[in-house]
Amino acid sequence: MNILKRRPTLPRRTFLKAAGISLALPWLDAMSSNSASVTTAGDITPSETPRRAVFCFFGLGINGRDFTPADKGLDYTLTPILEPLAELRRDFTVVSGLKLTYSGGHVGDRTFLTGTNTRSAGAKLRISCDQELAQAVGRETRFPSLTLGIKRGTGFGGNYDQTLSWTSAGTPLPSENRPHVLFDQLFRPDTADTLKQREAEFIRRTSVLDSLREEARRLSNTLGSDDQHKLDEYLTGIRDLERRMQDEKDWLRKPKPNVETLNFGKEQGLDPDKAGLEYRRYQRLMFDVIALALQTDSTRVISYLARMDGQDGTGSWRDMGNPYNYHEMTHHGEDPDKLKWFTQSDIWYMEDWAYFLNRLKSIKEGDGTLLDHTLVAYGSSGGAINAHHNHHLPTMLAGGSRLGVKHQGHLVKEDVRLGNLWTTVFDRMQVPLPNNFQGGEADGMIKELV
Amino acid sequence: MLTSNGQPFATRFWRGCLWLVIGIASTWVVVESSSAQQAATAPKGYEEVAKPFIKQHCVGCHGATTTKAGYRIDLIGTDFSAATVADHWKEVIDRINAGEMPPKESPRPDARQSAAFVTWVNEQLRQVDLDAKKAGGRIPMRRLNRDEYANTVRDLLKLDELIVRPLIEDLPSDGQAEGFDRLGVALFFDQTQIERSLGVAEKIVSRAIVTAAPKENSFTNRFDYLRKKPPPDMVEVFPGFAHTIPRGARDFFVHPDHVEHIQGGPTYRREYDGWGAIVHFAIGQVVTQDGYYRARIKAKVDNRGRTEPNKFRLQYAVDSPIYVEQEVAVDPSGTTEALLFLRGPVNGEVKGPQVFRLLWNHTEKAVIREPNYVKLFSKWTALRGRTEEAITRRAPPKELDELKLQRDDLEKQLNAWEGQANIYNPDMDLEKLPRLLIESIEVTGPIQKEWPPASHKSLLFAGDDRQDAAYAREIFAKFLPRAYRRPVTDQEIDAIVAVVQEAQTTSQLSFVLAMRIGLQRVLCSPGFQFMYEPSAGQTERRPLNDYELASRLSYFLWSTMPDDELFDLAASGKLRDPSIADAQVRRMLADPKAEQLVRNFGGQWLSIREYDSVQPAAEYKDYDKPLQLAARQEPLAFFAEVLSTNLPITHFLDSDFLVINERLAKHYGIADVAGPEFRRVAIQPVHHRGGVLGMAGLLTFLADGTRTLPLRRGSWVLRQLFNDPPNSPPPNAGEIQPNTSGKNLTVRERLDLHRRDAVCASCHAKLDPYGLALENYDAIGKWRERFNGEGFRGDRGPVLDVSGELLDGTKFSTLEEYKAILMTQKDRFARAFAVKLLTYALGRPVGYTDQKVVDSLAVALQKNDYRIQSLIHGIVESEPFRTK
Repeated sequence: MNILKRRPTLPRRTFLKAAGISLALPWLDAMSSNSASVTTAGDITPSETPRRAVFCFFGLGINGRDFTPADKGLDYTLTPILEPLAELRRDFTVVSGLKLTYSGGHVGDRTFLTGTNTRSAGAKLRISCDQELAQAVGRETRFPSLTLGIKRGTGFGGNYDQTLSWTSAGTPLPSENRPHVLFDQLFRPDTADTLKQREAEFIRRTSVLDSLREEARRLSNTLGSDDQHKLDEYLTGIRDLERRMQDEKDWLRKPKPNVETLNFGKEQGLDPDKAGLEYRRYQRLMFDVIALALQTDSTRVISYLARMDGQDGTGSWRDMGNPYNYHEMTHHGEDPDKLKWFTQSDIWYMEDWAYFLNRLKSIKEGDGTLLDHTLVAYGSSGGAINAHHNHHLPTMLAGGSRLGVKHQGHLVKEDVRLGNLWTTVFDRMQVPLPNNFQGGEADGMIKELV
Repeated sequence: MLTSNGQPFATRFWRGCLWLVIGIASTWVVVESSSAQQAATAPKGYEEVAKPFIKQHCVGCHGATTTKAGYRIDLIGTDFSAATVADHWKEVIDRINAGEMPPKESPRPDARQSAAFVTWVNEQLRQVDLDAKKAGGRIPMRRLNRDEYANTVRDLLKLDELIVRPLIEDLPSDGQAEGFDRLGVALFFDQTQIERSLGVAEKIVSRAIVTAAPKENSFTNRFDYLRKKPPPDMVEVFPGFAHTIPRGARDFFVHPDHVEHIQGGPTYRREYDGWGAIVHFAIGQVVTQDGYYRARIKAKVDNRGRTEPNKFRLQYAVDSPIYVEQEVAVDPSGTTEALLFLRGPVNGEVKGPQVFRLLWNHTEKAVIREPNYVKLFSKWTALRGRTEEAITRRAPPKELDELKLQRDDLEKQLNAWEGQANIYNPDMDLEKLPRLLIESIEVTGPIQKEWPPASHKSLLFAGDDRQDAAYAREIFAKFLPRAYRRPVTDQEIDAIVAVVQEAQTTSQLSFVLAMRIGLQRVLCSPGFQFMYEPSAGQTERRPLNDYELASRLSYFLWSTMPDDELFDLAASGKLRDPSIADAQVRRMLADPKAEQLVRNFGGQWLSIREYDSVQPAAEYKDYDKPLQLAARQEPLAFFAEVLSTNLPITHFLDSDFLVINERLAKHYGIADVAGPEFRRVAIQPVHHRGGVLGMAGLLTFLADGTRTLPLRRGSWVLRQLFNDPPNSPPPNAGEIQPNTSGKNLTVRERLDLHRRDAVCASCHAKLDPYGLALENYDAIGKWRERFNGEGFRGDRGPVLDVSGELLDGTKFSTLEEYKAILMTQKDRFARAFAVKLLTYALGRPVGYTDQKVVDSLAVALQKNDYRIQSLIHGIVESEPFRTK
């Protein structure tokens, strides 16, 4: 019996129409049914808080000797690489022993979120699980998902992938790698001119698409049945595109969240595609923007290819004196100098990761934090024992405490597929598992985490 | 048998028996019916010929009780129309034919028995082939891939190649199948492809149909900053020191109207030895878009004693994806001009620094550091290095103190130095050195070669004044047949005109802008993007019509749309005449556009697109940028030579010449090759090269940057040269571990440890020799007699053993012997090459249904001395190429 009279939830549009009010308090709290008005803070109810998932991939593995804890359970001893996360130890679980069947240590990027059989030359490219999540929850937010990476684009056709996200038709989604550009996309308000331009473009494109559809239908009748398949692909593509364009058009007129501009400093040095990348500054700013994106509910699904398989792309702490690139270090051949730098590099990467988790933890949401409402997955394609192994992957699940995740400290799951971790994420996101999830590369949940 | 006694025990017993009997009977029935089923569906002859043969010679090792290499020959199935089943049977008889199976240790089957079995299998395959011809083996409709799209747009709209290339960058990369990116099965369409298509088409049409000419920008550098702030006379004795010394000899002098250079500045690159940096400056305000830009350098050279020609090198955006470099002779008239294609910002973003740099081929070391000063200078840098190193390794305080004393002493000496920093080289006659007298450099652009551009003029053929609806219709009536590569219907033209009119009414666009939308619509249309070959209601293959044939021909040999001559022949129905088609093939192969066949077939067959995925480790100091670039170019240059001079394809296995430039010649140890251009160079056995297996680019790719990968090399040879890919490794196949500390094994030795397992050996015996034979080429393709890489250097590495034995027993002990054996396998190679080229030409996989075609192509190749052009003619004349 609910005797408390609840005010009806402020519809988003009401708030948004009053655009121009600067954000004085956490975005979502203002939207909550518990808030008395747009400017008075209130506790957001658990059912209103969105659930988010972030998938981060650090290619090429990690120095497992200094990463994997020797003991299990909640009171495991922190290893050197996990030291930077000391204060957060109750907020994440290290899951050891997972395997990625189709990874060879160096081509696990493509199979990481998809389960695609990358070994077979004719393997069909599959949809990635972040896109499956986006299909389920993406229409609630301006951006169904964000695809980020250390290098821009898809890398498809090239040597290594630059994106983790794949569509249902098996095409890769290009990633963005500049924090300042991402910030603009998320928060820079469209001017009246831009809006007019984009709406005019929408009308033009729709007209062209309609005409294309008609022609395709006409041609289809002249083709044999096997060829009609190809044209069906084309027609499906047009239909999908039109639907997405319509969604985008609907969001066009809604103003973007009004957030304080981040100080990006010199934009030179923040573009990993150019020379002179200032890696730590880039990485932390990128994490800042990701946190803002989640906080403002601009998106609920993010994939981030933070380090590539192959050429890593991060500079591997060269400016801190590391003479080796990441790939070389994974092939240390027991060289003590390489091993020393391997561990040191991993510790530095982990410091940035700690920064990210702390950032999420510092943002209050309801009676918890943003971290509590976000499932943050950290993983790799290469094993912690040897970079060319596809098992004993260094994996970590952080956050999600208010989504029903129970952290276990160090959890050892021998010979269990990585896809099972994704199944667990879907479970906590309350999204039903799609058919043929991960192409069969998942056979259950990791029950200890829930 | 059931008694009717009724005694409890007996009843139970007999009842038990009954159930037992029924149980056995039912399984017996089940077994019987499944084999009866098998017998019922199995083709005629299975029971008499195939089953006994397999039972006697195969099932023992490949059956239920023993399963070697995980292969169950008794479970293949007998329905030959199922593709995998047929492929399995084919593999079985291939192995038998090659003498690989049964293995040498087993009793040999009677020759007649083998023959009967193999014949039986072949008959089944042929039968299925006939059936398949009616339904399958067709070329599925495919869309143009990225390269084909770019080339077609270029030719259709008469746009500049350099302008088109950057515009298509947004198109998603194409999928590959069977090693090529033009197979329909891998070229998909989805919303991303369509969306990008629309975006790319937008960019193309705004270049093709123009409104106003872009503003021409210009910037002239007259070196005034040198006059405002001339370089000082005194310089720091060492960077950071307060004490200054006289500069001494100058490498350039500033005059009121020009600057006089004796020497240029340092370039910091070995490949620019002999070149000096004269000036660099930003030109972002000039280069506002992709286009042609003119550099005009007002300069003269006072040659004095110099006899060799003076040259400039113009550079833009060094070390970036948009890097451009051009070498030009210094014009004695005093004005040197060059036209460069430079890339500017796209959507506000530019892919590299927009900096222009000028180099001159100066006299090296005309101005040098004063020798005693140099000694002091280097002592100081060396000492500094030693100090840093000592600090890092936490040397004892005594050592650090000693170093500090040395540093203090040197510092005193430096501060006391009074001499000058630079002097003129005493070994040169200063008066005889050439002087570059440079007044100014002007960069102007974008330069329009013609305005309006050819694309605009040919589309809007009656000029820009007409703006009526009828004009739009006339334009597309003329344009569409070329765009769709066939005659079009009125309905198709109406569809485009409707889009133009809608753009004018609903979006209020001007005629010209609306025409752009119409053109965009054409470029995204299925009629343009797909190779359209209607086949509704077809049950059998039909011959292609002339237009379809023209497209297949032009996309095969040129990767672009047919040209006017092909269209004319198609229109008059003459192209289907074999002798005319033949003549066209000859014309097309001689046309420069055939370079696309080299680039797209040759490039993918020889895996060139993947070469840059391997980055050699720092220990390979020989590997520099010019080598990397040259190594990518070499296979294409070689292929082009074989194609244009119609050589036998066996040259790919081994040849007595290479097509290389100076940098590659240096890498291969071949003397007397000068200059960056590629040219044919005869080689001797002592050079240890020839064919594709000696090419540095390929060998570097088939290594991991640190050591060679013989298995990958062997696998490549089998796959790409013999179309006989090795079986996939079992899931638990490990990787060769790097040397654990203390051990100094070569890769071969480590591989041997791995191969001793009988299961591994079953596949590796076939695979390893092909790769180990190439061990004389190290991880960057350099010749070696001793093992190197992974820390081994010079004479410390063990001597290499490249010997091997192939599965049929032939042995070799050197690379030369190995290549000789490859040459004896030329029929096998020819067949494989024919399959690859046929796959590329058809745009679909070549399977067992095409065996007859491949057979006749292989025979024809043999008869024609294995010449490559004969194969191309053969493919064009073949049935799959000419039918749908």
